[in-house]
Amino acid sequence: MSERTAAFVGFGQSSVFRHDDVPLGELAVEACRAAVTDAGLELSQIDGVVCTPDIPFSIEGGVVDGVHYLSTDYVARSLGVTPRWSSEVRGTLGNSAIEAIRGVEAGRCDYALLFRALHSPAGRYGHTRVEQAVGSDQFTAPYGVFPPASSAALSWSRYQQKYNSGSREQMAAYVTQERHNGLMYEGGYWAQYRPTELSVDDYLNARIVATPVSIFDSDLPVQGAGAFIVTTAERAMDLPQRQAHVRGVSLADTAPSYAYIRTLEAQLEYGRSMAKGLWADSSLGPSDVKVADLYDGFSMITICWLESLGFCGEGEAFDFIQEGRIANDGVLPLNPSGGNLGCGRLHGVNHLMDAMLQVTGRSGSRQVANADIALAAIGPASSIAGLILLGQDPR
Amino acid sequence: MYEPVSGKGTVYSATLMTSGARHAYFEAAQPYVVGVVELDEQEGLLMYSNFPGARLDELTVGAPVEVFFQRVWPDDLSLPQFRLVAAS
Repeated sequence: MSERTAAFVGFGQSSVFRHDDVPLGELAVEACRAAVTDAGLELSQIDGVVCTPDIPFSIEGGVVDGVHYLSTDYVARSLGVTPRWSSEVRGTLGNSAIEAIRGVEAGRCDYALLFRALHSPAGRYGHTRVEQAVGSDQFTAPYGVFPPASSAALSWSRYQQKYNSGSREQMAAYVTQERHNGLMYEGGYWAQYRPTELSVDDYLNARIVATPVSIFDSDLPVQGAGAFIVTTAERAMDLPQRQAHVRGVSLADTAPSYAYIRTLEAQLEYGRSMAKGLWADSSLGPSDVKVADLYDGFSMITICWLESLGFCGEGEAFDFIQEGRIANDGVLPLNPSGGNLGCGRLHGVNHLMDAMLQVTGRSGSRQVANADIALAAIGPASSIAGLILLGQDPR
Repeated sequence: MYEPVSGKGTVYSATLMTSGARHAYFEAAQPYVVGVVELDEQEGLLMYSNFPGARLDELTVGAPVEVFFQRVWPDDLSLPQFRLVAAS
């Protein structure tokens, strides 16, 4: 067990748009300023900046800092802060959140500003016109493989045969609950623009992308940004907000990479190995977790996390998610703020936000009773994921 | 060092791409099968295939398959593909 000393003390989120109507740089600045204000700090006190600048799809014609992605330098300059430490980490917000935690704990900065900004271009998402596949694409593109949808479909369809479980009727319980939760979060895309519940029939009749994955099993791409302030628990005592203590973290023990076949077994194996690291780091276990914020870029990703983190047994997740067990008043509230599926694709911002606000009692209508420990699992169980366990108390 | 493989394997998983393609060529080809083959030589040694000619419901996990080479795209590209074989 390591002695974790970091805490989350501020959160901010930008307005969210379906497409790139507002420049990404402007949205990130909005989110960062809100996080600094929430923490009760001045911009001049920010001396660390951390992000994951990755874009999870290709942009033809190249990418521009401030438009398609954001560097730490762009955001620091736009805010007028001069950090003594900054770091850009590949992967997801899971990877960069842990970088910020470790940076603060190592004394590289006093107040780390952590942000994630997601670009959503007009037109169909991730479309490509390339006619030559080079590098690792040569093993996927000629077969018409379009991950991540195909990865979700291939792992789900294998699951169905392997465990004789996992119908769309079963998955409906989870996806409809996520939309319901997301409608309670004012910062979510659906709550702002399309505030309607998703019925089981809506879900079952949805357009299929790749069997058995439908459009509602995939998150809606949006343009927006989220930001967090991380400092030490000791410094946090002088700040206005209750702090969310970092109780444990865990990363995969391989370098971040998007280039492999994300199979069912690979996800379960990565998840179990990361879970082992988390429980060792925190001296806690799955039964201690009161709120589970598990990544849901695709619904099947959450299923894999539920099993690999030990919230239910192998092959049992589709039974587990029934009968209100994952509702906000159930045995394991799952993504009480809606996650990606209920709020749009901000790549884990919603998960970390929810875990932080739950353990500090700031979740309003989404508040889970006795939420003293919350887990954010950000990214699909793989090298581009990170586990962050937050607690109401330091230990 | 590269080592030759037998071209024999089993179906690992398969899906029918119905509207997930993001390239004009493949959009026009929908619906088509995308699947993964596990080669006999090594557990976890995986590659993609379209299983041309097979229906999704025939491609059950563990079904034996063998390689063949399919001419595709404009003229000089051969793509390793797999087809079902009778279980031995």
